[in-house]
Amino acid sequence: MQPTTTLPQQGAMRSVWLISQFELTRLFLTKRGAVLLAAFAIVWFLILKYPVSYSVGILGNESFGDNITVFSSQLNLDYLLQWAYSEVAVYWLFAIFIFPFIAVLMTSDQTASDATRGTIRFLLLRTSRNQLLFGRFIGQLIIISILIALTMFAAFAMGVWREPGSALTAIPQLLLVASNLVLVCLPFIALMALFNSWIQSSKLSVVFTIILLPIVTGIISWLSGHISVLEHLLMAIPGVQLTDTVQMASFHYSSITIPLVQTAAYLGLAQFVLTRKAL
Amino acid sequence: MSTLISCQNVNKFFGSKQALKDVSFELNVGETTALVGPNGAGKTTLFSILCNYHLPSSGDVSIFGKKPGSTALVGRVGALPQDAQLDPRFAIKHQLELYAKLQGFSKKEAQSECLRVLERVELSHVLNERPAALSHGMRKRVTIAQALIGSPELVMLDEPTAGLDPANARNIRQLVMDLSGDASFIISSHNLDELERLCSTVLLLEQGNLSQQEIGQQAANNQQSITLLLEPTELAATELLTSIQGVKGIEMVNKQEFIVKYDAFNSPTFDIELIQGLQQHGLQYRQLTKGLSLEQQLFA
Repeated sequence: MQPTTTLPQQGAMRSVWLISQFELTRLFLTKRGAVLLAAFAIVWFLILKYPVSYSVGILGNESFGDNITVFSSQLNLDYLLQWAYSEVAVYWLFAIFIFPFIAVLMTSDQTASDATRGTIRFLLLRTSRNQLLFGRFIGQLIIISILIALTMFAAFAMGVWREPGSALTAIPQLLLVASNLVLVCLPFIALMALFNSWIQSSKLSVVFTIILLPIVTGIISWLSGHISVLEHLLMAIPGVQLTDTVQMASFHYSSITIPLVQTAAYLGLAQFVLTRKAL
Repeated sequence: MSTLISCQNVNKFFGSKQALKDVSFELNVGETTALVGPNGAGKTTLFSILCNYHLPSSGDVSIFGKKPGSTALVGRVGALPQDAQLDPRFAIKHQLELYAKLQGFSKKEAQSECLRVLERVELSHVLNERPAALSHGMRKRVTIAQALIGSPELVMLDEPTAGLDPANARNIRQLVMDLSGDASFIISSHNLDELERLCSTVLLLEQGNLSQQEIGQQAANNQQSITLLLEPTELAATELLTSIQGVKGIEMVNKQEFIVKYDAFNSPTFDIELIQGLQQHGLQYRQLTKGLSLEQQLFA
């Protein structure tokens, strides 16, 4: 039997899309995916039940408008008081620091286990390494975007339940939150794609990111104290713009350019490694 | 006849170890080729280069005139990679359908193609099973089925019958024979009897060096020999065989196996005379093969 003929360009796009779609089933139809989703749901249930549901009280606290110390940075979060729903505001504060970790954990197995098991060899008879890399990346990005959307709408729904009248006013803030969260997660997902291509282990990819990145950041910061030009190396670390993004929550240079450039660079490196690697 | 695979001066290094040494060969469309050699000879490395799992350190490789891994080869080349396993988390159907769709099949076409290839390996009943629920042999047959998706023009099978019971190994051999008119095969195996039955060309790899032989041609050059396998006997078989008319020499491979040399020109019906001679001397034969066996040709 011969397949329906497709143009090569259509074939490439179709392959990327098919691989991306398969990633969705990997999360939603497998045991490992179900465990990850359950852990995710518990964490967010606790966040939504306590800090987000008590958000009015938190934002109403007189000291909130003053400087709040998060990760040793002085954050100015006054703008959150202007938001339509305090639930969304508190959700944003949690999500921007939690979702990078979630992205690392949930996207840590893009090609690693398939390469170890040899399943990747069946796929590579039918798709190029580039299509596989980008298909898996896009699939993981869609998954993280869905999770961001679900949790954000849960926070929004809590706000609407309390005060239905401000729903429309909150829409620009929701778009801003969703876009910024996806942008924040992008380089972390791309970094997982790179580590997967390089070390072919999902566990080591997580360990490298969660343990090694803070150490590397610390070393660069220490060195830049002596040689200031080395400070630019921090631009290679994913999440370097987080404190700027959370203080402004608007589309500006650091919140868009830095993650996009990092993502492109990590994916470029992943493509370089994967296309040369013995699989 | 058009060229199926062309390898020119292919070298492959793993660190300081050279797995393939200046390997060059050409195979034509329609041939069934055996890839043989001892463990560590470089068979799987050559397979991996042909499938684009490994890149050669130097040299040129083309399949149907295209570089391995080219998207133009999708659907034209199927392969059973050694030790590759399906994802244990998904049903067979789910995975084979993805592979079919990646080859350009629509969803509906993919479903029927998936069923067709599983029927070819007599496993249509495991469609909804996960790989973990299958035995080793069944998993192997499913992975052979994936190599047949889309009826590829070239099918490369690395150890296709290793780990299969005799009945299933026979089914796989039968499958290759059935398809050999429609597709070219490259089969890597340690089972020389199996390869002898299936293949017309042999690629022999030894310590990374390759030599190419035509099985038919080799037999034609050795028509002065018959390989004879006798039933166990207490008689002095060598002496008795030497006394048969037309025999020019006897080479004893082991206690039961002999290579009988004769003059094909002077004894055109020697095989019949040999059987008659065996009967006269009370020797029972188990197998009689014209020419040298593949094992004799390659390793004697």
